[in-house]
Amino acid sequence: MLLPEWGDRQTFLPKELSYLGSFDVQSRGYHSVSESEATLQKPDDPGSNLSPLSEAAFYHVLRAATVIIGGRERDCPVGEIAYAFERLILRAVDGLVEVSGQLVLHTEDNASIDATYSGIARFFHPLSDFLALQRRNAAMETGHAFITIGFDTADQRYAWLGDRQCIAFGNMNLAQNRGNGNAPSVDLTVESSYDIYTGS
Amino acid sequence: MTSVPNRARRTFLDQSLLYLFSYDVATQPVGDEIGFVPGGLRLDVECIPNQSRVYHLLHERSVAGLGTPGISGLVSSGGDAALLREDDVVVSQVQMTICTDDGVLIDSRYQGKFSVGAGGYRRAIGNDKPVGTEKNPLIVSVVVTPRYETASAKYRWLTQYQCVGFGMITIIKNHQRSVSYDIYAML
Repeated sequence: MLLPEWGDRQTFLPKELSYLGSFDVQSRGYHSVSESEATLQKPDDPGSNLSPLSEAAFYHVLRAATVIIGGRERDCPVGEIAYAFERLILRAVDGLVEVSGQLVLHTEDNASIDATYSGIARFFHPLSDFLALQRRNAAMETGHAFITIGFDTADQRYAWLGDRQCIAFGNMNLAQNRGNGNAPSVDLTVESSYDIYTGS
Repeated sequence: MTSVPNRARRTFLDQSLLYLFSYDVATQPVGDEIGFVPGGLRLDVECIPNQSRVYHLLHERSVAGLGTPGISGLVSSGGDAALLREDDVVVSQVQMTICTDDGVLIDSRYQGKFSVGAGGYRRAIGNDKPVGTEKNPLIVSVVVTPRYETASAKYRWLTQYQCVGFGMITIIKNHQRSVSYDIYAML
């Protein structure tokens, strides 16, 4: 198939997405108040009070063992997330949240897969209100996240993951943890859950 | 024994894509080829001036569902610092500026990956059998994930979406010669 002349295209290009897998991560960090933006990330100190990542996992929502990607049946990467980092930046200008993160997956068949992602999150209510110090201990805030994600691994069984650009649709829950009175920081827990898709 | 917690989701999350605009761009190799770099072969291309078009396929003036102004114009500048890796995968690093019909500049930077087929790297580094020819170009489908930036209040809505583009790339003699994309907002 040759491409048509410029601007004469009358039909949409093929738009097919294949489900690749899902992952859940939970992270705990601190929102620091600044004039232009707010940053949430895990503390650098590994000994600090992080939420356990025992519930962090990579899985197929239907518990299938394989996925069809590019017309070929592939093993679905399933396993524990050994390391995860997520950073949220609240854009002061429009309230949008910039998301970036990294995780390392240890699959049940002993492969290590690195994933790096970035994108945006949109919450149902203005996040600046939720983060305001006077609303400390407010209820959980929820939103949707839309990210692009890339994989990297030295394991040949999953090398196909590194050949493609992926996107993910996610849900994000943000909760303020009780008992933190150290202004200007706010102690937060973020629970994120994503479904990953890639081009067929 | 499975490592997936029992409480892990068993249903898919909602996902949808909203069509925004399309573009077709003719490209050419840059004058000074970068060549071999760690990890592969750099095959940089740039867009050819006046051979591009940004448009709405259905000729709508606004984006259905959002009610925001549609995007139409041309690609005023741009290029792809493409790396052909030794595993026959091209990693695109695109920087592109759209100039809308009403004179607004919209900047975009994004990455994409696509395979040129088994043996593509070896063919590209040899001179006898390049990837794609004039008579038999290699056409590959690709998914890209652009974000957009603009100072214009009229088009600021575009900066608030993570987008995904489904495209077709024509490769002749190892280099991209044209790209076409349909761009969607992730919702």
